[in-house]
Amino acid sequence: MLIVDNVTKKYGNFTALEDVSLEFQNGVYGLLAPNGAGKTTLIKMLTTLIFPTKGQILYDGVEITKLDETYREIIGYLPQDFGYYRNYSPLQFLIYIAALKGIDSKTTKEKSLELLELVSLFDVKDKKMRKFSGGMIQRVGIAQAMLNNPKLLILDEPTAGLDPKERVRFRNLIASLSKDRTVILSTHIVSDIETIANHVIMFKDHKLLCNDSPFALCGTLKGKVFETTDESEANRYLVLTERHEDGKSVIRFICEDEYTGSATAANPTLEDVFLYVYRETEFS
Amino acid sequence: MNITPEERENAVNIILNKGLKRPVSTWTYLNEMYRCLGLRHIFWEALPALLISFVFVFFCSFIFFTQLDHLVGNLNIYTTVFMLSPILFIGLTVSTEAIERFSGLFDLKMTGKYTIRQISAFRILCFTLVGTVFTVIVSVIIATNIEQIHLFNLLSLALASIFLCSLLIIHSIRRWRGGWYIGTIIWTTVCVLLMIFVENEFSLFLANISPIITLTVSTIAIILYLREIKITSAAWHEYSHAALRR
Repeated sequence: MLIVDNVTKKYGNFTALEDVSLEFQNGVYGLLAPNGAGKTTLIKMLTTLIFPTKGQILYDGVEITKLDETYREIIGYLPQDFGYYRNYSPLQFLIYIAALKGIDSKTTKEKSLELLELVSLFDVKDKKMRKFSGGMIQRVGIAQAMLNNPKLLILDEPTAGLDPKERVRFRNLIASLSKDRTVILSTHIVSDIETIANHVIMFKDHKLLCNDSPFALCGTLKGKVFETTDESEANRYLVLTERHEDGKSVIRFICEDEYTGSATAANPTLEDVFLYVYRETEFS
Repeated sequence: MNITPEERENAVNIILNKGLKRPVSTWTYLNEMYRCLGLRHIFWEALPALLISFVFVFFCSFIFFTQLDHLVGNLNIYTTVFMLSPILFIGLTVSTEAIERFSGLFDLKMTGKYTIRQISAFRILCFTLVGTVFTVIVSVIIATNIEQIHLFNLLSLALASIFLCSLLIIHSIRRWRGGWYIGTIIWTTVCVLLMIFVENEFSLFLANISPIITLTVSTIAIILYLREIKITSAAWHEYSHAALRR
């Protein structure tokens, strides 16, 4: 089990994360927050790329920096800006990364081929990666993160730059990988985690805001989300989204007090929670 | 319960073997890394940069040898040797580090069993050896061709230079994220400033300095350099605690 214990990270006078405490067990954890909220800072600390200014991160009760390579052997990491060698094939690339991970060279090729099959890149295993789309590169990224069969899979903005079809395929892949491990997924795209995350962790003002299941988070807005086609009615409240349906504009809004108007009650979604929580950021 | 001293000794050994792990020395660790990764993976993607560095250095050496008589005449040979001895080391280190930093894989490679920081330490060790061999060869060629030059003086000066520069660069790499170019800029700037402001005095100083002093400087630089290699390739927690203290 991974524990983040009262962790603070400062860069000079700037506090990137303040007093964050979390516990991670098997399942998918979605770190959901707007850009600059501290997601990548937390991920970099979880991957030992940077160190907390205060507090500690423990894996099975031992500080991760003390575990050193033992800890690195159990993590798989896909960075936000995943670089790759354009003139190498995915198979060559995986074999190289496997060597850096200290995986036995006898099993490397077999394992790499198995993972390329899993991420549907087996047919292009020998093609140079410079011809790959963004989605294919991200899948190579996932494959390299899975090389050591990690107990802890950490993905930083993995769907950035993917088209909707690739995003769905990616979500399905993550869901299938999360059965017997901890997957920590950072994103600012709600739909990435809405269906696959067991827990959603949100940050606000560089502090932990909530850590709960999507269902429970949506429950906090139960009875407060409404939809109407009447613009003047909606504008009296906090407008969340607007969509066009049958030639009419349907406005979704939140009423925090008891609602007595003509709008129809709607089931709250994680996107509603996101827009509501970050309303100052999004609406001002 | 009565136990024999032999049983007691065995029990203690079992406990110690299970409970205590013998710390692995830096050299054992680097050797293990070399065996596991092999030169191919340690110098992955570095071949073009290495070839360019070699071509550049041999071009510089060609110019140097064509100007040799002129340099010997006005004592500038010692200054030139001091400043240019680390050129191969700098070329190899800067080119491979630059490729590494611009590959976009630096963070990922910091999370492997063997981190890129440890691999860099191994590479720098190799480059220092290559640079030293190159410097020794150049010094021997100069000293055998020109009677006024003493091999021992020239060699001790060249070695002092190469180890001071290596020390500066590896210390910068360990201390700053952009250390690979910061160290190079510091070395180049100091050399250029010396040439601009105190060229004659510096040349005279290097021409007359005792080889005992330069060898002492070399020895101190080597000791500190090896310490830097050890820290850079150390286990994460030792490094991280050092980083936190900073």
